[in-house]
Amino acid sequence: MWLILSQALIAGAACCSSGATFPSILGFSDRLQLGTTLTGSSSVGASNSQGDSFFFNNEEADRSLLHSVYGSFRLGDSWQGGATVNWFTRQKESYDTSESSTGLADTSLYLGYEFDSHLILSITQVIPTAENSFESTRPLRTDAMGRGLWTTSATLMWRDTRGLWDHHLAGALRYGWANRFDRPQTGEVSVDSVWGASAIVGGGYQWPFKRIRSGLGVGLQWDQGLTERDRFQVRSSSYKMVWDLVADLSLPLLDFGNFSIAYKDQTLLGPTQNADLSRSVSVAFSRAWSL
Amino acid sequence: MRGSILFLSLMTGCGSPLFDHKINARPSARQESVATPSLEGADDCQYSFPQTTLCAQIIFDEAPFFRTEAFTAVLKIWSSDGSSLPEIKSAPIVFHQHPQQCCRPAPIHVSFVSPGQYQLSPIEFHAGGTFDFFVEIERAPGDTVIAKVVVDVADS
Repeated sequence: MWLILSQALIAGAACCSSGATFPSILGFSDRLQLGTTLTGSSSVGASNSQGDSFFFNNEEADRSLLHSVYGSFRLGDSWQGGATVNWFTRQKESYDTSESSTGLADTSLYLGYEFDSHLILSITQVIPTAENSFESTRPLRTDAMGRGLWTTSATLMWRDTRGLWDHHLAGALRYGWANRFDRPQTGEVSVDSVWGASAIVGGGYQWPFKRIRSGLGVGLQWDQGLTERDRFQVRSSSYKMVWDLVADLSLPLLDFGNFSIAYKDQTLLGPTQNADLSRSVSVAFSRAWSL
Repeated sequence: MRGSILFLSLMTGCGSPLFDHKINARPSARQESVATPSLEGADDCQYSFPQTTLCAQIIFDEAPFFRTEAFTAVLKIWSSDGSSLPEIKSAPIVFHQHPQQCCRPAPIHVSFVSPGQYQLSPIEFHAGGTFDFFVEIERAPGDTVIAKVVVDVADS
């Protein structure tokens, strides 16, 4: 559940690979966890700054594949930490133009504190290891895999289990630090710091049969508009907002690990603004070692 | 039945993109009727470099519009008072942005044709509307000036 929850609490815009870098949180009784996630996404269009949505026609496509590897470990009775490394491939088509890029996406580190078995606070630092949109050189910008900003976020998560039912609630506040880039041809561009926030609420049911769990969550992502300055001008974009609807299914594989699959859809709920809209399927495998 | 109606009402009421969207327009056929602008016809100094008598214009081989193959264009720089063009130390830097597509510049390569005329690499437009083209020239080492040239791109 925490993997799915974490992925839904994505930091940042849907355009960028920093989205899936929030690492998996350890279970209350776990000492160590290793995992990997493969996420295939297909952008179906975008909402503009007026909130109007435009979907691609059949001569346009924007697909991506994100492979994440993460590890998290217990640092003490209440403390835990972890890291996530991501590898990204993106392919776009626009009429007669087709383009693809692959490379390292943003990397993240986190430190978590468990107040009790229900409540955990985590601080995450996204390290902009990916190529970013400000330094992109390709016409369709498939090489822009990250936002380029060091982003610090604080997430407060609450979870509870009642019998076979569980539910969770989480909110995240993030801050992207101002940064400077060397843009091809036009020179230095400075980007102002930017705030963002996410929230998710969801629940699940563990079926008695083979302990399969199914869950459903709704998330909201909001990002302040970006302001950039170069020697030509100052330009600002409006805020971004997109809703996630996440359905997931997880299956414990005896003592070997946990397998889960999740579907996320950003086209069902609105309003949305200034954001790419995508549908994605994630397949995850993780193994945890208990205390 | 009642549930379905409620669901659809909720989706449309909250602005669900799935239930309230448009499909991107396909590119139109090339606009054959658009005449090719002549370089001589662009001599009115609509866009100028600040604190100079220099003017700039970007002349497309045909009126640009949204979503088609790339357009070719020429950058022309001249002096509005008829004086000879001062030496420009290096090729101008040109880039363009759409006001509603923040932070998505595409590099434009500039090659010298003749004094005051430069060929721009093919330019694709991934949106319609008004684009700002910025032209920077270096008159002397460290002495740069920038002109903004506005280009209207038809939606289809």
